[in-house]
Amino acid sequence: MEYRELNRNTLERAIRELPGYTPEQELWTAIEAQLELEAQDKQLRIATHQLPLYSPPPQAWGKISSELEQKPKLRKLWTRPVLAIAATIFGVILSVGVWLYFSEDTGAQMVLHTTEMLDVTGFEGDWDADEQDIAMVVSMVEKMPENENLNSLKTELKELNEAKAVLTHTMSQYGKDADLIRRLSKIERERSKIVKQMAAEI
Amino acid sequence: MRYSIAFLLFMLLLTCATAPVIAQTIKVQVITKKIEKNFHYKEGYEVNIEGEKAEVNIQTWEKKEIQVVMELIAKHPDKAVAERDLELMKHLAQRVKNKIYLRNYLSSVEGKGKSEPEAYLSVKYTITLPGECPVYLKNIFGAANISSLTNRLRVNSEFSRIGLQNLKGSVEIKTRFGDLIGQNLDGWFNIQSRRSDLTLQNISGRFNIQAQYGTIRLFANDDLADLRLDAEKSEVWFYHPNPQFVGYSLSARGSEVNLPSRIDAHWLALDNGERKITFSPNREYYPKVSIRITFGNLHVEKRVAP
Amino acid sequence: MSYTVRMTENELIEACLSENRLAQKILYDRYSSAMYTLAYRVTNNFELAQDVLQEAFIKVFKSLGQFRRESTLGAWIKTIVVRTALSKIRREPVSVELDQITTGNLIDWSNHLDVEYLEKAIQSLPAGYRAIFVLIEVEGYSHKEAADSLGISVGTSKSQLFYAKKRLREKITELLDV
Repeated sequence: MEYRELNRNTLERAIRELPGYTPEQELWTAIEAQLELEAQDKQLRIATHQLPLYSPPPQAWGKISSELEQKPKLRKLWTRPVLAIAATIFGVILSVGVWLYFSEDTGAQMVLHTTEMLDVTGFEGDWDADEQDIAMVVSMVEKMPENENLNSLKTELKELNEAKAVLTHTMSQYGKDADLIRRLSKIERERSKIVKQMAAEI
Repeated sequence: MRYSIAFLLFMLLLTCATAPVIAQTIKVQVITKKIEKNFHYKEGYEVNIEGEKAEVNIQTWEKKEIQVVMELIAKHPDKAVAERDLELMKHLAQRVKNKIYLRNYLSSVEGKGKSEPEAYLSVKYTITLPGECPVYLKNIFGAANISSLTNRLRVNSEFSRIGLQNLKGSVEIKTRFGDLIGQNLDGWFNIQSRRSDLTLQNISGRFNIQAQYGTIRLFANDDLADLRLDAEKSEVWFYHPNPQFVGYSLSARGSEVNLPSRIDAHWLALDNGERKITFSPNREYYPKVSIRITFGNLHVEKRVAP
Repeated sequence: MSYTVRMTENELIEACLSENRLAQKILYDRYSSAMYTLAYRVTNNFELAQDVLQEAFIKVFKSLGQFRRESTLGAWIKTIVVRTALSKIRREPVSVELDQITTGNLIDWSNHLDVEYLEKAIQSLPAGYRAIFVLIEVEGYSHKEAADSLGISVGTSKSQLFYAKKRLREKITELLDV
């Protein structure tokens, strides 16, 4: 079959750049489950082939045939009272044992007292000092005609304000610590950026 | 003019007077309530933690047992205040069916004249469990250090630092206003991060990451199979020991992309301002990296994790 | 053996043969994307491609002992994936008559070919043509190998490829015109 192709390198390049796809994550789980089943089947097959063969004693058939000739009758379990009592006691002991083994401990609890030096440098923050100025910028922005950029800045500021509220509430509950102050400082820096961008739009 | 100079000098003097922040340390009484509890582990169990201002450490051992040590800590110069406020911290460590619930929370301060707690309060969890035990962790504030889990981990965290080491299996992480730092991660990772910074070293397996407003540093190793990253308004660094042997599908909008010179592919400009590039190395198998970056920057570099 | 330790292909095969599940997963991770893409290209259906992948990898792990190392492991797995994928699609009979295709026929790919259009055009091909195009042009099979896989003659493989390319070119032109 002869035919000509012009600019074949264009096709080759496009083929090289064709996208690739990735299967769903769950696929491996399905494959693994199937492999597991296959492995179990295999073990079972091996095991069943290795099971020993036994011959019944010669008198077995005699017993079976005589049983077959008799009418079936119900056999009473625990005919002797002593055996029944012993079985009950054994059952109770077993249950208690199992319960003790599987029940969880109630847990140990202790209270310790120590002292330590706590560095509280800079804990008295001034993060609310500029709230009035920020509110002023926001109120001016609110009066402006809406645009995509302003809306996006407002949404971002709202998210950051909420984050600040959560953080300051946590500080009032758990006390100020270095980690909380560091996180609040980061949010304040981001808020400042947004407010500056808003001010530039005014 | 003279007034202005005088004012500036005054401000300068004021700044000099207040600039050196004097280190301030206080002696505090530390009251710690330590709770230890052990649970038998059975297949199908899950440890479900909801921490508040908690440092959560999760580690593994060979025993079929889950050990929980919770420390509720109150610090205040006055011992009585520390003791009083410690009582406000409540905890729960209980198994219900196949879930082991671990919680800490602050009971509300009620009554006339009662104010907020005065002591510094924090919580520490140390959980030791079999590697295959699935874990769900929700933590607001504080930190989490999780290592050597092999099955399933889900983390939902806000304002927290999450440290991950030597993890395998399926991992889902949601983080807001936090930091995620990981090492030796191998499995299926699904990460959603917002206003969080990610540094993941020595990663292999499959990663699916959605990130907004963050700095993302990913150090892949040769066993990375697949990475999908959708990054908005973020700065992204993707490092690979052999970036030329990776297949890329990159798309950028309002972003700069820096690729190693050995990746020979051309950009395709679309009408919506998006640029796209695909590159497949001439190899039988190769990792696939799909990155979509919007209003940020992407840097692909040859480098191994430090 | 650590999961992340780099294993050579031989070590990986040996570990898979001893049914080491982690090794099996490494092998799966290495090839799953490439093979899934191939399965999708042949079947034109993501769900079917997942089925193909599952079935093919089970076959791979069960018959790895028969891999004679005459080709690379990837090529061997690819053969299994292709066979499995082909068994899943109903191949339309070839409608083109050989004598309709005259020598000297020309296909011009022009200076630029948009990847997205090429992908769409491949998807629009009838199953038989798509399979032959994917096997030969995308996967690099020879006509003999493709013909053997598809159970057709080398001549038919050649004519089908030509016809597939003609259809592709037409489809891409159509997409450009829209």
